Amino acid sequence: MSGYQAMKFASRAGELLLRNGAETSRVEDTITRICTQAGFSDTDVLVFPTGIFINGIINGKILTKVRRIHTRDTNLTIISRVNDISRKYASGKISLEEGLKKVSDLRLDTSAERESLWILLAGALASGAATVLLGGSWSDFVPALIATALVRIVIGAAAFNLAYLLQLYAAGLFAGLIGNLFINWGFGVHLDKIIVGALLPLVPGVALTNAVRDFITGDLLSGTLRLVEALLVAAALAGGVGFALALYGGYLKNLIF
Amino acid sequence: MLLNMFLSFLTAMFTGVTLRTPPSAWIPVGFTGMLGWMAIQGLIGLKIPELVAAVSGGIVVGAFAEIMARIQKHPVTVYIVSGIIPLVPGTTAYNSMLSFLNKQFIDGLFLAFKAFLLASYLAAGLAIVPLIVRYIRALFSSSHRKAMDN
Repeated sequence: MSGYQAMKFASRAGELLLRNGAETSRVEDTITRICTQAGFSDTDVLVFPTGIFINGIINGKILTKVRRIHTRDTNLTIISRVNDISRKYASGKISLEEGLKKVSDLRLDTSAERESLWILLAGALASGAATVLLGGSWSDFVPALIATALVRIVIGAAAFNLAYLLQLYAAGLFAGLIGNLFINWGFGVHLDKIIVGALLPLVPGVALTNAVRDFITGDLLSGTLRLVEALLVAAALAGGVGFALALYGGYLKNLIF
Repeated sequence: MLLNMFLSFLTAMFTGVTLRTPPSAWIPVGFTGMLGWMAIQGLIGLKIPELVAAVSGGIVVGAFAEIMARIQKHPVTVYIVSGIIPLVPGTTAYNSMLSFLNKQFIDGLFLAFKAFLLASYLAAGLAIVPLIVRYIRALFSSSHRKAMDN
């Protein structure tokens, strides 16, 4: 019985880590650590960005668990907490039941947490600072701030529930359009700095870093998948901005004014 | 210069907030971004090639993240993910897109490849650090064990 519980604990912890942007080796380490502590004699873990396979032997029985990962996001607090829980369990400070309960609570916690005003404001401030850092003038600060806030509201509206890449395409599109509008109305000087600043927090930094780390640790399949993801995200952002610029320069400008 | 340092601090820190970094790590995350940005800009100012500067920036971010992770007991990822945001070659990628839009495909390909190369060199610099740390630790623990055996 405890074998099933341990498998549940390990797979939930791994799922939380993977869904919130941890690298492959961390997920595999965590699952192996939990299974070993729970008494599995021969644990094998295979982690892809889209799924987890766990196989282990306990009390002469082979147990297997497969977990499919559909959505991916970045939430570093969850990674930190799960890491903490698994370490505490591995060093014997908490029991299996406690660990499972904590991980399950954390899992419910994620679904309740949505874009709050503070996150929106922080994103806007980050983009404003990035715009000035990249060589924009201070008059570009406020346009970048507002553009980012609008972009985040647009893509954060969960009612749309667009596909991940389409969401990023929309972000690029809106950043381009709003930046153009601001320049046209005389707020801000550097269009390129405003757009790059607004999109900088969305660049696939997490995916690309994790891809290279996976390559270096030898997880070739995960590395390839993450690299493709990073390239697709970059292409989606650039495509959105390009479409906005083409649309605005060619047609919309005459229509609005 | 001082202002730009402060701006890179703010960029990294607030990006960290949007990625839901644990609150106790907000300030260190800002410093991670600031140090990496200073390393890259300083090296480019010394006429060092951009790619070398990118690797060095990655190593600085990775090393500081490793140190802070040891002190604060958070995973290294927490610091790295937001710490590299000020170093990402966003302007190069944007210019590449602009070249494609203006039908200058050769320029566009050149800039796109440059952006990709800079980003992957940055990531490689980040990824080298844990390997070095692990190597040093293995070296230290094995020599320690030998000393214990003797």
